[in-house]
Amino acid sequence: MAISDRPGGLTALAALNGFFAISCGFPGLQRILSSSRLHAHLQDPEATADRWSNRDLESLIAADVDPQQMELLGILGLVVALLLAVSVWGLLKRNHWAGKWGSTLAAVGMASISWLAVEVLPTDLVRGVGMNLVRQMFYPLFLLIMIHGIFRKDLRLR
Amino acid sequence: MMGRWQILLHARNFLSQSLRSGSGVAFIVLTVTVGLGCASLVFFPIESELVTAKEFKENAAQGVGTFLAVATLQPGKFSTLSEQIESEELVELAMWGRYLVLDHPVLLSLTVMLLGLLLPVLLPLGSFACIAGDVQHHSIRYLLPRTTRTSLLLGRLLGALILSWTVITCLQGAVVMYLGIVLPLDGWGALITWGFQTLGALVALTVPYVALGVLCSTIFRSPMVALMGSVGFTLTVPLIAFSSREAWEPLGNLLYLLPWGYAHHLLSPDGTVVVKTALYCLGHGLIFTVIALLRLRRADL
Repeated sequence: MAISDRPGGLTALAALNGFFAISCGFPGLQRILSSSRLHAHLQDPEATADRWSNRDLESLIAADVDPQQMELLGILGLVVALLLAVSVWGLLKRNHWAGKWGSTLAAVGMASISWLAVEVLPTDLVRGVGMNLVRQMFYPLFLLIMIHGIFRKDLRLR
Repeated sequence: MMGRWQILLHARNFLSQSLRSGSGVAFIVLTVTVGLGCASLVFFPIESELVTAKEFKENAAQGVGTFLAVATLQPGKFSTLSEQIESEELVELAMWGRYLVLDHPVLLSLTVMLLGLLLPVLLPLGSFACIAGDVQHHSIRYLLPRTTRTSLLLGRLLGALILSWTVITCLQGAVVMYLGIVLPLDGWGALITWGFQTLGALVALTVPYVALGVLCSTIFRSPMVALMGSVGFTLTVPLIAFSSREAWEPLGNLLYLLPWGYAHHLLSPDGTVVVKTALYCLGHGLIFTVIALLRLRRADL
């Protein structure tokens, strides 16, 4: 069996991208569900009152969150998860478009989601997570540095 | 002169190699994520307005005093230690706790103390493959005709140290910036001064643990075993010391096999003690390096 000449760092980045794809995908789905619940509740509050006594939903209603913004955040999360999943394949195959540009778009998307979440979500939900946001910003920045700096030559167009 | 250049060359090659290898990526991501997670844990009560800054400082002074009493191997049980501090029996430790919490930015002090406990476990990740990686793949055979074993080991140790110092500096920089901008309990002046002092403490603390990682990398031929060895030794020393101390008090001194027993003095109010502790850390690192060097020079590769 031939030994792969792919650097171990690319494999590690692919694994990390896979992990972050999961951690972006599930909150995205959850936000889409919350937005549909919120939408249904705003249309007919009495019919849905006993169906969802969720505390998060109450805080969303109290904070006057727009369900469309919430939905947009969820869809963006799913798109980023998809981009990350594509980049996993791209990094493993050392593909220029899927690896380099898939990771770049995913990194920009991940940072945008963190920033938009602070703008859209109620203060109650985002209070006390400031340092977590810094942590969420770290991986996209690190990914960009690695892809465009360290692994520049490994992911060039062939 | 030639040897010095070779050491620098090996350090540069190690840096680029570890950034391109999976272990380097894992080390950077894990250290920064865990470090920022620690900071998040410390900042949470104030950020989420669960307690006021004043209440937080008062509680933290008590907690830090108890932690210092445990770390300095004070006789007595954990529950009685906090009572002794409250009744000012251990007045020196109570003063030390207040120095860290009331005289300096409390959130930064607590974050650095937590980092001081967690970094020893994370640091071997950046150095475990120093020698063992090449030994396992037999690529060391191609290197040795062109260089000496001493320059190879010293160069790679220097590379591992530079990598660890860079990651810690970035981490500390992010924490100080965040505290200055988002949670301005203390002024920028106090934050930056204390930030540099604590960074110096962490930099000194890094040396023995990175050297331990390199030592394990020369002892074991497989990088994974080297990693398990260094992390295992780092965790086992305090566990054995504290448990065997219950049976016989002097066995608690086993803690001094690693800097666990004295590293907290890097945050002492007395400048002379800080300098002495930093020198002890460097000395500890030197001992590990010398053993690693002797081991590598005699190894059949």
